Amino acid sequence: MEYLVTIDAFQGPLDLLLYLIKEARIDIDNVNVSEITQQYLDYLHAMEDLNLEIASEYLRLAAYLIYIKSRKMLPQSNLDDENISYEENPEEQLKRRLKLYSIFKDVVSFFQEQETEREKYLTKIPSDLSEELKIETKDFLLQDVDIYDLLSAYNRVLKRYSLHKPIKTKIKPQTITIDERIQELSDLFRTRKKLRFTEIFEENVTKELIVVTFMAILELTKHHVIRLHQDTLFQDIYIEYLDEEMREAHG
Amino acid sequence: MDRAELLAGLEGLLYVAGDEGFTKDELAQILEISEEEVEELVEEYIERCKDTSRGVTIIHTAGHYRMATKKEYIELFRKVYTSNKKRLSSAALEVIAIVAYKQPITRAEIEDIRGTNSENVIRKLVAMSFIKEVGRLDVPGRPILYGTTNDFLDYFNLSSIEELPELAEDVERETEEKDLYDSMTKIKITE
Repeated sequence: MEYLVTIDAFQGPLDLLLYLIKEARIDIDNVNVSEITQQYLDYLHAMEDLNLEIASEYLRLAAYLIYIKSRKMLPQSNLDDENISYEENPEEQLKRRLKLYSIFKDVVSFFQEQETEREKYLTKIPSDLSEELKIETKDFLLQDVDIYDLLSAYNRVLKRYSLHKPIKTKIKPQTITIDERIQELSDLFRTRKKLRFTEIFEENVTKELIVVTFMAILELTKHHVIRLHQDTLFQDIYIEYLDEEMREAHG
Repeated sequence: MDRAELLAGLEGLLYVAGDEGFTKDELAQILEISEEEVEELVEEYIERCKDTSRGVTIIHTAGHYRMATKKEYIELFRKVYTSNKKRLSSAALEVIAIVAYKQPITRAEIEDIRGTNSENVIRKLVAMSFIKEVGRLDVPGRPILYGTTNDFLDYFNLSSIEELPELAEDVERETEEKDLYDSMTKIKITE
């Protein structure tokens, strides 16, 4: 037998049993306990084969199912007769419990719908009028408040605080291409013929901008638009803009 | 105050109160009208809000009237207001349903219906103030009896607990039988 769902999908042994009954398309009243017991055990075995841990409550129901099954196989002794009227048949008891559980299981969808419905109405935090409030704060405390009111208030504060968090947003770093930077530098050189590498940057400089600028300068040097000079290693680089004449001399 | 002024007053009051809202009784006192008149007034306001050019309306949850945006336009509002609210788990909803219908109820009774341990779920629901202790059962150990809260009603868009749909007949009968049994034997709720 192949099962596609795992035990985690169930809310407990009764839930699993209900699922199996539903799968078999039978009514709780018409359930053949012997048959469903086998399926239930098969399911637990399948879980075991997958090395999944099975909570003890699942095993307890398994034992109970086997108990019902074995009871049915034994001939009823006369001794039991005395107790019969007082004690509920275990099979009936199980079916009763299943029915009760399934009723609550069914009503869960109502609560889910209501939950979704309420979410469609947005309300706002009360306006902050604490400065001009007419009623004294201590008047509020005269009401019959208990610890659960405090808890409720605490939860509201948490909810409100969470609304104060900034809205999620993405900040993209400004990117600049080497070509764009070359254009910018060319404009700069038109006003200043000679400058140092460190002078090129304004205040908010990123690592990326330095790299792009450096590469732009190398590119400009290659095309003999500028000439570079550095005294020693790690010292500032002097950039000199070459005008037409000098460019030809170099070319 | 004439009708128009009352409507304006209602609108302004509920706007200021926000999600706290006002009860029928409070509005009656402030506006100096009867509770029945408050009901009529709210009905009229809601009726006027049905106009498609209106973006807000009044909802009635947990016994409070609250001003809220209209659900018809929720998609529009969601553009700026993204809800990251976590929905309740199936286990939590099961426990909520059981407490809602069978309150006051002990943990043992909840676990008996579900056939599984529910301690953590109950603790979580108490922390979220959806259920609370409403008393103790007068039996050895004095177990806590749980009931639902106003936050529960508001969360599930209910004005009162009476708004819950009726359960299938079997449970009703169950409950009656149990109640009969309980009244004959042990239950005495003490605060």
